[in-house]
Amino acid sequence: MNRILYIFLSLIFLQSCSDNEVVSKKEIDKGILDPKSSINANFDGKIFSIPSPFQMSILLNETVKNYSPEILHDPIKVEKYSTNFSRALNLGIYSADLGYTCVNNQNNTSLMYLSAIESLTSKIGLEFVFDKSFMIRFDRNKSNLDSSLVILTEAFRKADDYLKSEKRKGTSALILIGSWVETLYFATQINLKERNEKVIHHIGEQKQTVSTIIDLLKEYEYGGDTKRLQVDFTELKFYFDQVLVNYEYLTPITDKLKKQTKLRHKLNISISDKVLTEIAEKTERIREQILHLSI
Amino acid sequence: MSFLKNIIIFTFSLMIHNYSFSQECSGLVEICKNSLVQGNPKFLSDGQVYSVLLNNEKAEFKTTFFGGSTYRIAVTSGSEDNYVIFSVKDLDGNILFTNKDFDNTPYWDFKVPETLPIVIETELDLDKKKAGCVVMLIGFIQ
Repeated sequence: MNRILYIFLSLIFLQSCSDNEVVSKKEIDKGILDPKSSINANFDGKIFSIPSPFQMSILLNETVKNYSPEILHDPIKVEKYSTNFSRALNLGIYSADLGYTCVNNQNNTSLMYLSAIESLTSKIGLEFVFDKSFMIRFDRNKSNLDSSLVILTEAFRKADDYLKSEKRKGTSALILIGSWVETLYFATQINLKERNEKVIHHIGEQKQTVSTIIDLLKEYEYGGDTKRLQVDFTELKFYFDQVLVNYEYLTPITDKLKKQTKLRHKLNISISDKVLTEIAEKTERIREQILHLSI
Repeated sequence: MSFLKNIIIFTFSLMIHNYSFSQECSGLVEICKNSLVQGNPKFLSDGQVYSVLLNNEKAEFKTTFFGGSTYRIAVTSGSEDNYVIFSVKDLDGNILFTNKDFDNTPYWDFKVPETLPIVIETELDLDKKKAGCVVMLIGFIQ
């Protein structure tokens, strides 16, 4: 009997080691029986998607060529993040900064952000993704934007895969949320500096993602100041709800040989100046809150 | 004693199942990646892995296709490349594409002149596979 109990408790302990949050016995039970954990995903089939921070930087770079280093977070602050919550969110922030510096061909600055990312990933169990061999590979290809973007996006996919397979979807979600906040901050700040209709359009395009983030924040147990983030994103959604989207469906054209479908719909996005300002201010406040976590 | 034994067996089975699911999905990511990187120029991963355990249900999620980009959706659920049916719909429910019309092809590209919030729906083709992990990757080129 004692032997069975010992095996049972050992297995429970091993299961609980999958995340580096402080785990109490109550939380272990919750984790195993959580109907939303990956094993039970077939019950609700919930999957979330946040746009790539690298893609947003590429889109912004296509529209505005001027590089604005003042909108980036300070990589030196990286050592001040001491909880999983603050590290994951700020890993997202630094990832977006890395994307922005990369697409703007700021190779030396990119290496500083990569170093900050390496520091954070090593503290949340992702050191194998941004290890020495990755750094060497990235360094060798840094002058070729296409190659370095392939290497970087692949590394982030690897990190996401690892976190999800280790049932650390909460950490994965926080990284994505941090990166999304940073790219929205880029867009709003670039537009404040010099009004640009395409950038405003890119801001309006984020309407759907705000709802996804609120759903994500409700879905997993994150620890930290999750409630505050939920309130902040709900306020941000209130402003995004005032973004007017006019959609007209047109049948797409599909090319079987090319294995490609070309979409042909029309989508108009309209944001008043007042709403634009409110989105910019709220985004800045959320970002400031993330940046000052654990400092 | 019997109650405790049942709990132990249940928990142990759950953990074994959980572990097998993770292992199965991780293996599939590499297969799926091959579909994503086929051709030139190379699609950049959106940095996320979408995996779900399915039997006779559907999984769906919302995402946004940004204007001026070409996207690739790649799916897999095992050694054969036609186990998974995926459909892309707009938020009004109009079907923009389904691979069911193309022998459940494991990947498809989408040229997107204008931004569009979409719903991606996945399910197993139950004539070919009854249950298992489904992995999806999304890539883009500008």
